[in-house]
Amino acid sequence: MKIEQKFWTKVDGWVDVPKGKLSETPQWVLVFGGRKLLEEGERFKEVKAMYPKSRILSCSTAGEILDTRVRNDSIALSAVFFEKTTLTFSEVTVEKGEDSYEAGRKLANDLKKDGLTHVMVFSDGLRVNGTKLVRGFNDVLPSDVSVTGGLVGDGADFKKTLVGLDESGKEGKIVAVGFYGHALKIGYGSLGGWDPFGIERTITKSKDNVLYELDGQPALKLYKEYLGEQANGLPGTGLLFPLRLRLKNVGKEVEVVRTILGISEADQSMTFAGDMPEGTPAMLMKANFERLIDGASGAGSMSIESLGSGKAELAILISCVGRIMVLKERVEEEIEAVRAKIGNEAAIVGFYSYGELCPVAPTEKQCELHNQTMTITTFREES
Amino acid sequence: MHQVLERQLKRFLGTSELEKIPTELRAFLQAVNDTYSHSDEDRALVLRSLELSSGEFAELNKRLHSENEIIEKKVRDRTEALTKANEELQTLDKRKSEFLSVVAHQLRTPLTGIKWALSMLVQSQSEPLSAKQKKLIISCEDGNERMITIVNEMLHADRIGTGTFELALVATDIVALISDVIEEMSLLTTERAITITFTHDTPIPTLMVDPEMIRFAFQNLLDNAIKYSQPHGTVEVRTEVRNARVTCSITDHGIGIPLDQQPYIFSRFFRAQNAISAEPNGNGLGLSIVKSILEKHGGTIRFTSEEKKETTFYCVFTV
Repeated sequence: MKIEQKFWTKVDGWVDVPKGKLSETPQWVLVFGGRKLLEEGERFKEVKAMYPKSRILSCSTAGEILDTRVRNDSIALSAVFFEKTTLTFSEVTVEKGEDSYEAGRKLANDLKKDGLTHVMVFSDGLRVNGTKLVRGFNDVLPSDVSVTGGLVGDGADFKKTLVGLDESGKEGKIVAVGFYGHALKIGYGSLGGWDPFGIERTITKSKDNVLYELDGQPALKLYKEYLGEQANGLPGTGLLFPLRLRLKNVGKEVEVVRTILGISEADQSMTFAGDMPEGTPAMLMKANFERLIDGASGAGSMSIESLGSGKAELAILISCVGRIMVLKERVEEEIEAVRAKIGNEAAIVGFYSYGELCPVAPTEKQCELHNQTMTITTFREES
Repeated sequence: MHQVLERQLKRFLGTSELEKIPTELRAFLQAVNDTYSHSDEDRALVLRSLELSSGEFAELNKRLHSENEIIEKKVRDRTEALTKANEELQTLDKRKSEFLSVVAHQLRTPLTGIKWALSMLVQSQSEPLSAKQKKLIISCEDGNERMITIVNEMLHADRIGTGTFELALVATDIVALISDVIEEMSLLTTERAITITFTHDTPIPTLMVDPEMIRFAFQNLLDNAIKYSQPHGTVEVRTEVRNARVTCSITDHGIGIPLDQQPYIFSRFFRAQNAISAEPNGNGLGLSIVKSILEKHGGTIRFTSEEKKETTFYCVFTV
């Protein structure tokens, strides 16, 4: 596997990362950038000119990650050449959340061929229902195929998110990449660092991923009370208090974290990244700095240990926008913590997201929707 | 500018006016200023969360306390109502026992009189009776004897129920006592062609019991076993000693006790439906009296039964 990286900023334009320069044509170019930059289209044209024969995946973000730097309104680019692995790309567009399950099934069916080892999913972050999307993949893919990925972002604006395959990006789009061949080794890890606090409440009114009431009171009112002056920053500041749900899943209880994607003053509702079933116990969560850094470090360890022996060559980091709200100007410390675990050889690229997709443990393959986590996928090609 | 940064600039650089600070430092100072501001925001958020959360817990506590008080009052009210109802029941029970006792005593005297009169008629040499007359009088004697038995049982039940009797404990050979009772039952067993077998360990230690009470108990149990057996059936009586306990068991292969009625078998005046069908005469006092007698002796009684198959009663005495 060979990788070259570069980034674009308004001040410096395109800057090559010194390590690595490809002489081969990369099969896959990852372009993570600010939503407005992608919408303008000029940067995409430049990328297309640089890599005319490559498949280009574009994603809008809530922050771009390249090496251990986090930037906003920039482009982070990684071009990857695989020596022995083949890739297949599939895309679909959804108009509304209810279509997410069928979208997942369609993408999975497109990629389900002999030799499929892993799938990475890059999904619209506002229209798609992450819970339903994940179920679509899990219902189709064989149990030995792992799935990771994320719901892309739009800064703290929550207005529109863009995903594109060989184009700058469109709303409602989901792109899935299938990796085939036994030479490719994949590792992954996902950890949060948030703790529930206060009394346990019950979701008393909701529909799919829209929450109306907790304990019979408007949920939006509760959030405004807790945020105080920062309520003016909703929905972005709502990321400071994700919800922990205790969901019943096939007779067992699982704990999941849900993050806010949007609010509606008209009906006092809050839209979350995954389903919010009525009757579910829910608790507000909070984070502290050290726990988030530990979470990132832990995810790094998991992604390396699950890769098996040998070092990672590429690490794609998908970290929740809620973490930036807490870490603020120290956000790069979590990337540095990941770097400390995965080693200096790996090329790091990634973005801040509205949701992360990953199995709950490195020993599992079927993915779940996570929120508020650092989720890492590591790659290595064996010779 | 954040007040802490302003103070620090004045202290270390002599000024907090940005125009007087080197340009190359201004971006850095802006970053520091942002860090201070964010830190204040975070602290304010944490304090606010703590305050709101504490308020919610206090509210929850208050609600739980209030609900707890309501529940406690309900429990108190219901306990009071139950206590009152219980007292009323006890009063009723006492009055019933007193009534039974009075009636039984009142009945016993004339019944005893009837018994002697009938006996004299049967035995009269001077005015012998015809066969038909004798038969009728014997029938009256049987009926009278039954009524005397019922009256005695009612008196026993009353005395035992109210605790108004004392045991006259004597070192008793239980094997001999049971053998006597079996012998007394021979008329009944012959009538119904029932075979009683009696086996026992050797030796069985003597027991400190009131022989009259224990005799009454075994008469009752054997009477039931014979009554509810099929004709030509067997009743097995067994006495054994294990771990300082003497157990006397009586097994019949008769009608058995229906499962849903087994919990009530020792209740006063209770008779299982199939027992009433098999033997309409009966007052339902026998087993409750037997249980009270055994418990008064520090012993226990239990049973196993399968309807239409067999029943075994176990009387256990501590040596």
